[in-house]
Amino acid sequence: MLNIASIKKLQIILILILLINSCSRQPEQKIYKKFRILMDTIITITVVSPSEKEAETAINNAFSVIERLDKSLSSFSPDSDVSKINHSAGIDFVKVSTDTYQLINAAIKSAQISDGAFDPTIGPLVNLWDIADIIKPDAHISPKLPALNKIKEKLMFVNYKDIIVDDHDMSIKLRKKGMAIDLGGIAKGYAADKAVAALKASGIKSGIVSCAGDLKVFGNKPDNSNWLVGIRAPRGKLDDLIAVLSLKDLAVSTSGDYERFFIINGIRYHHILDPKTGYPANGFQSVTLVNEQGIITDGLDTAVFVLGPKKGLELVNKMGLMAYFVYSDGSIYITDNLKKLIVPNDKKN
Amino acid sequence: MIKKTNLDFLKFGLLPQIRIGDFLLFILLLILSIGGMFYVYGGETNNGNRVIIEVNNIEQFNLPIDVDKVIDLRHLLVEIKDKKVRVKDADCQNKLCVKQGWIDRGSIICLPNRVVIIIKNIKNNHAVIDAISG
Amino acid sequence: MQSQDKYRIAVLAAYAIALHGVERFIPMPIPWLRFGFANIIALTTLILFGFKAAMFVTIIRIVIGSMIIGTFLGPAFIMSLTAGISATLFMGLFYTLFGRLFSPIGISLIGALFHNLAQLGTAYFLFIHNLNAMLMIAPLIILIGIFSGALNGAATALIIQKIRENP
Repeated sequence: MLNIASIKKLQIILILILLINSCSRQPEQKIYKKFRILMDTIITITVVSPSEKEAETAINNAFSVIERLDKSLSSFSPDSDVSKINHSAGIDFVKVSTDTYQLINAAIKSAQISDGAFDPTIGPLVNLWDIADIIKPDAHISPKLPALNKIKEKLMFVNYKDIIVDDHDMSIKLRKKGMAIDLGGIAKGYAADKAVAALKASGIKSGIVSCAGDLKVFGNKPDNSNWLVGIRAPRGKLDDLIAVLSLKDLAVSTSGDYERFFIINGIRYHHILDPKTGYPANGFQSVTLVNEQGIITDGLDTAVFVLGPKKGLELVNKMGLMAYFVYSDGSIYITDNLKKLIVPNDKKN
Repeated sequence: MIKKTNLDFLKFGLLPQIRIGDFLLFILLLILSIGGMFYVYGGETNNGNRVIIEVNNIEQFNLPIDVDKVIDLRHLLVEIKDKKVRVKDADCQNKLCVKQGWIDRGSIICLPNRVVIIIKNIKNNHAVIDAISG
Repeated sequence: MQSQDKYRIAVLAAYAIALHGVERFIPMPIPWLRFGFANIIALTTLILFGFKAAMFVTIIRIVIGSMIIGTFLGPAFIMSLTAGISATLFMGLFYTLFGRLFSPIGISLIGALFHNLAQLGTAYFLFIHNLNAMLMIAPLIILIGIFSGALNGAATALIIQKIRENP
């Protein structure tokens, strides 16, 4: 039975429906994506924005932040902060940019937390192994192991405690001549943090900054779902994934023995070197860490990889990180706090 | 005392007893279960690339099926070999899981120890992935 | 209940327990496959003595049988109990509602189906919360159940016929 009261109710409902409709008629949120080669890798920035112009401005702002960082950290250009620090090793303090200063402090912290398993002064060893150069497609050098006495010699220059930081004028000195810092193990996570901050400052509410193994997502996709991030399968083809994570406002870093490596007599020599032994660390095929900050995930995934399964897990638990391990026999361990972020296989399609 | 039933007229062997209802029910169930089997197994072109072992409903192991390995679960001994899985030994009473032998698809379920061993195909779907780490 | 009925139920339950036990010694190609011979007794009881008696026989068979085998109150016992009760329940329901449409074979098929469904359901809710694993084995178990159910139904039909010929 329709009476006056129920007709009024109906009217109110109809008006409400109209109001909701008119409210939701905002400009459509779209995904914009751009990439650029910086920091020796491809960096992809994805943003959600109602206008192409806003998206483009924001992405360019973020890229210029990374570009500035790259200029301070590149060991190729002679006037970068890192080159200057390494050239003045054992001689003098070098005044550095805020970025470099913050990054070196964060690197030292990661080194302290991991008791030197991650060490930013690994430079001399990295240069000795020179894995990046050996595996270049046009390299004419066949892979060769460095001599043991050479490795022992270089190990003497690897110690993060020999980085002297002057907090007053943001300057850095390496204690011994022959030392060299290499921030490759932490710079990309830091870059992702900084680029996300730049995007947010430009008014972007959600997106992804992806620097190869290290990426950071914030906000949601236009349909309000989480971003889906795949973890590469260490022994699969380039596009094989071992898991998919559903993420919001989190950074992910993966260190794998498959990124840069060569094989001699069936033994895989990869680029993640143990600062204590001078040789590639074994125990894992890959270590993926998830946390709010990229500088933490990037700095510590190398450390966990080097520490190996037992001590690595201890560090993960101590720091409350989420982790996805692929051990060297191919088996997998996932921390309980990460399990709920994993997309079940049957829901992916 | 024996109740009067509506089966009294069936007195001449088994065949005359069978009714159309029996037949239809039999066919219906056959179609449903065989259809279900096709639905469950038919879609899989290859058998799966990972062995997932759950104990007490928590995933404990996720292993590649092509790496031979023996896993000691205290109550069960699971063996992976030649892309097949079996329960090599178990300390339960009837050892049904052991008798099931080698499997290269599907699952082995051990109820007393609450262990589920499943062979799954973990594939990729890049259409839905927004970024890759690694 | 008359004392004569009590006696009959006891005898039938004893038969069921015996079959339940004998079945364990029949070698099977698939380890968890069972004929479910005890269901022959449950169904015979249902048709000859009614639903209440059938339920009595089923519960006595499972409780005493599991005590003899040594699985009493274990997971196997809980699964047998829920499966046995639901099989008898649905057989009773179908027999009273659609008794004219089915011979014992059809009723036995219903029993086998609900026996297996209840078993899978119990396993899922109480022990293994892995829907994927359950769905994977469900069609196979149900398929096997169709054949053993039909076989048991045929046996029941013949037994009832024999009893009626020589009461």
